[in-house]
Amino acid sequence: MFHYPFDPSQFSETARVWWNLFGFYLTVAILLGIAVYAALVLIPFIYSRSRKAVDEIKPGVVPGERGRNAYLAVIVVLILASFLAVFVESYISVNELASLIEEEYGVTIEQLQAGEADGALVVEVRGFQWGWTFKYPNGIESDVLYLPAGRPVIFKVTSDDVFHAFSIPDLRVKVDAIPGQVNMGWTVPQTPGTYRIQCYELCGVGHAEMISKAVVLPPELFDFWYESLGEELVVEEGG
Amino acid sequence: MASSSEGGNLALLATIAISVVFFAAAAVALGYYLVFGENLAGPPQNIYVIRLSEYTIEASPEPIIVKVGQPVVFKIVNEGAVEHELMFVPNLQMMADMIMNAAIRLQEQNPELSEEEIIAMVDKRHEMVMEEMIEKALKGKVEGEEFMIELEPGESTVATFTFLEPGIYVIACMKLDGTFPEPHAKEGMFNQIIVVEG
Repeated sequence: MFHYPFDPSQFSETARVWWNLFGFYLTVAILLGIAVYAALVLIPFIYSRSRKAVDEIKPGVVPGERGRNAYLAVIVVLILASFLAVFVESYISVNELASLIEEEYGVTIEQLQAGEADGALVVEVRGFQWGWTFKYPNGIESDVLYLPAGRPVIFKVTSDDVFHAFSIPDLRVKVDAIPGQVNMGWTVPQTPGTYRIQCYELCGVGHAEMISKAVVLPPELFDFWYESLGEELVVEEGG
Repeated sequence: MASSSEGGNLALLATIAISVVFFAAAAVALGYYLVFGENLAGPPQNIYVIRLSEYTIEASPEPIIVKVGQPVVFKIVNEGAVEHELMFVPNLQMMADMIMNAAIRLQEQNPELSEEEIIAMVDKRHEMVMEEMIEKALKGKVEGEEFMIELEPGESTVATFTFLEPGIYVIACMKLDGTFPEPHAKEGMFNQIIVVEG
């Protein structure tokens, strides 16, 4: 039904930042993994060749007194350094994203979190057992999510019955849908295409079929859809 | 002594075996990335099934992604209850407005005619003009036998196209049955064909 992309970095601004961050985490994890597995393979060789039982367990002697404090220090520093690197990188990329949205699209992170911004499209997302409804500012209600490329979109997510989680995996959007509460999520879609929308919170028998699609259209095509269906609705209300 | 040394060897072998398994898994992951990692939004396909109904154009799989210069086969099925068409539209907004205006004008000029008769008149008058317009707009961009495929309910057909320029092409239905005086496209009956280089 849908294509499954592996590298989502060009689909949306959020996807790009999270994908880069994931790449950084992966690099750190691979480096640490290489060190750990190298030790795992090499240490048995080294200690099986030399018959000196250096690390033999002796009652009453704690490991620290065996004279290997330097190794311990290296390991602790490595762990702390990797944690620190990952935290710093996360902080940097989130800040990068915030400044980019503000400079390129004129929308601040505070506005996005509040769900009110002039330059952004606000979509009300309602989850129910088992499906999604999307409501646009001009009154269109649709079960397929249409989005304009290159414009910030704010999702105001809520639920009618039980806990759901609204997610567009390829665009790196995931927001909990909780009854009686409105949660904010946002993204800037970049590449036209069709993406999967899925519920990420076990919500009942139909959870696995709680799938919809997000169609990212070029701006002029989105405007055509938005205006023609919006007009129709106004006519119906008048008559 | 001998038994403890044997046990040591066994542990060594087990350790090596486990690390080999983990490295093999990492190699598989890397291979998956190298094979599938370069695609834009999934691999461009050569065959798509396109379903027309009231009032959507749905493709399987979605989205329709095509490589430049590669022939692509569309199997088009009308699953709706009225006649639909699959038409390449250079400018959706303009085309939809044109048809809507024509329908309204004809109705004003001939108030005695029924809706069906006006729809038939609009179809007849604009078929030639639109076909010419579309062929002119798509010249050098798309190769195909027909850019306007009309289907009765339940009917299906197969069409082959070759896209020569990357970009986004719009397909839509401009029939008026049921949505008069607006064409079906204004109810959301359109879709995009994404043509990528490669």
